[in-house]
Amino acid sequence: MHSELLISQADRRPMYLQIMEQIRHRIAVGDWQPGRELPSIRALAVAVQVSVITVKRAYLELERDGVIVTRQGKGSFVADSADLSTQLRLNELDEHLSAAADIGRQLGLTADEIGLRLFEAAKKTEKTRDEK
Amino acid sequence: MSRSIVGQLILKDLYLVRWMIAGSLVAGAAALAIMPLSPVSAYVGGVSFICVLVILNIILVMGAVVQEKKDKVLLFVLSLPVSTSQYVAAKVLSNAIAFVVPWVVLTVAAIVVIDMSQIPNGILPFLITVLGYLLCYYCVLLAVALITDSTAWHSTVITVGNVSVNFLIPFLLGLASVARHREGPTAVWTADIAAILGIEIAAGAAALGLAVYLCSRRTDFV
Amino acid sequence: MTEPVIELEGVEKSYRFFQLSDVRLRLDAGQIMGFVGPNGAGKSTTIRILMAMIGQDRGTVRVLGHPLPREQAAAKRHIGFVSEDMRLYGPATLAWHIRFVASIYPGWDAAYASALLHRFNLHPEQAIKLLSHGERVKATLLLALARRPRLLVLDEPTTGLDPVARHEVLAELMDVVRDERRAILFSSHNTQDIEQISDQITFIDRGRIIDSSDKETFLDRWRRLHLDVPPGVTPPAPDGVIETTASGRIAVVTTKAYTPELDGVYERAGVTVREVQRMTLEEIFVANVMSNRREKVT
Repeated sequence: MHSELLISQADRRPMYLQIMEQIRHRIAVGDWQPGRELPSIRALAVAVQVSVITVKRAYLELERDGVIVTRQGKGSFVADSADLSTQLRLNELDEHLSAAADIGRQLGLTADEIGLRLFEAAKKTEKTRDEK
Repeated sequence: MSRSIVGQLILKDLYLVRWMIAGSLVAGAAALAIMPLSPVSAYVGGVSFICVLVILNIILVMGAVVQEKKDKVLLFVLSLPVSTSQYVAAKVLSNAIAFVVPWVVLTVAAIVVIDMSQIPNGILPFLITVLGYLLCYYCVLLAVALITDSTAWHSTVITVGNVSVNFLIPFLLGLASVARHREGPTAVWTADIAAILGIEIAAGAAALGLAVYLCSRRTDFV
Repeated sequence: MTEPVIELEGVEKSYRFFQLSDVRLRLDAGQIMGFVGPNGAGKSTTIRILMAMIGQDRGTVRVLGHPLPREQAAAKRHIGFVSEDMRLYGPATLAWHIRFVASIYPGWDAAYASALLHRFNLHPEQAIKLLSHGERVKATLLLALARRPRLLVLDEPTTGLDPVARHEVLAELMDVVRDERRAILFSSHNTQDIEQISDQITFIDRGRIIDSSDKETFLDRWRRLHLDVPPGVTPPAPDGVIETTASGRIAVVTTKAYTPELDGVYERAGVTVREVQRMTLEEIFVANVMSNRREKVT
């Protein structure tokens, strides 16, 4: 049931971030509706085969971000926020942009140069969407 | 606690050596069977009989005690809910049973065979003394195996034990009391025979007692 | 606060050529602790001390509330132990071993044992001496797992296993801590396994505990910084920096106390921080051991 989440060892990002991202994505695409109960920390840890402390951290950070709500003694639930879906996808966008900016900086590009390339990429997707 | 752990370990050890026990009974019986047939076969049977018990002694102690340590099966047993002193107790008891039972059975069988055949009963004190020596030898070897892991020590005891039997036999046969009565129809138990038997029993018990004492003070088992 | 499952304090053990010194270890219920160290570091010795197979020279050992070695039989009633050098009785079958262990542990779960036989693809009527290495390890694990022990103590449980078998074993280990009253201590060379499922990690080297913390803290605090050092500038050496390797205009810094402020420290000294790299547990382990050995020499 919970084995929908998968930790990749090839992915160098920390495991707790991978879990957070996958949970956020589930919520963002609407699979996990607001108010739905999340698996218990231990149950998820067993299903994903990752240490309990890592899942605990993922849940804590998700709660800090307002994505989930933990009720003492009852468990964790997807937060009841109307525009949660959009907020999550915006978070996702920001993360991707951050990663792109990192790469740009490693290549030695300036912020303007990175912005320019992003603009080009955005125009390209507009074009492909228009063509459909 | 349904059944005691020591009991479980003893049963386990006996199960693992069941073929050795059975084999020694069969071989010992065969040796006894040929003894009444002729003086030569009596000699051959007698020597074989002694060998059976010596071999049983060695393979029991080497197999059950030494091998278990070497093969690290000891780790498996010690991981069970057993204290180290319980482990030693179980080892001593299971080994004792594994040897003493065939020893008693074969000794009684030997007495019966000699009594019922035309082999003079006067030989019995000599035979019992030799068998008692084998029992003492067993106790000493078991004690040494429990106390030390050194194969040098094990080999020494086995060598001395085996060789000493060869000296014991002529010594006993040369004793005045034995020489005088061994062709006779009745078993005559003299003081010197009784003394030797007493020494054998005391030595065996002391060896095992020492082993149990030293092992109980031991803290490192692996 | 419930009592810890394992508690070692000031444990010492001396051998002719090796000393275990001042070992302090604590494992709480519901946790998995990974015990990492090079060969000969003292992992097996420590584990055997907490299994009462070896008696400590000094220090206190408490497992499941029982002082060891005095109450070892009581403690071992709730422990499942598997060690890589441990053996079962060669001529006997796995089925015999199962019957034997089941008769000793009232908590034996026969249904789970059957499930594991199936999952591990083991044949109970086969003699132990005929099993391959991997099958033997899985058989020994089965005997430990099916008694549903409160504490699992594993000395190199996945060493020598193929990746599929390792995956199966890790799955069963994780299943143990589904119950928050149970705990696992396992030692391994396989830092990947440790990194994946451990909550707590303890490093040991040359008879001493050199570091012990929860996994996320380790992974958060250790970093490699790749620096561009202009000529004439000496990179600073802030607290927590384990090692700085410089050659020409490039320097690599290993730190065990990383915070984002560290970037600023370097930037202000005129050094460009080109990249901040996370470290795998293996890299952390090696760096930790190496720096600890250097410190001992100086």
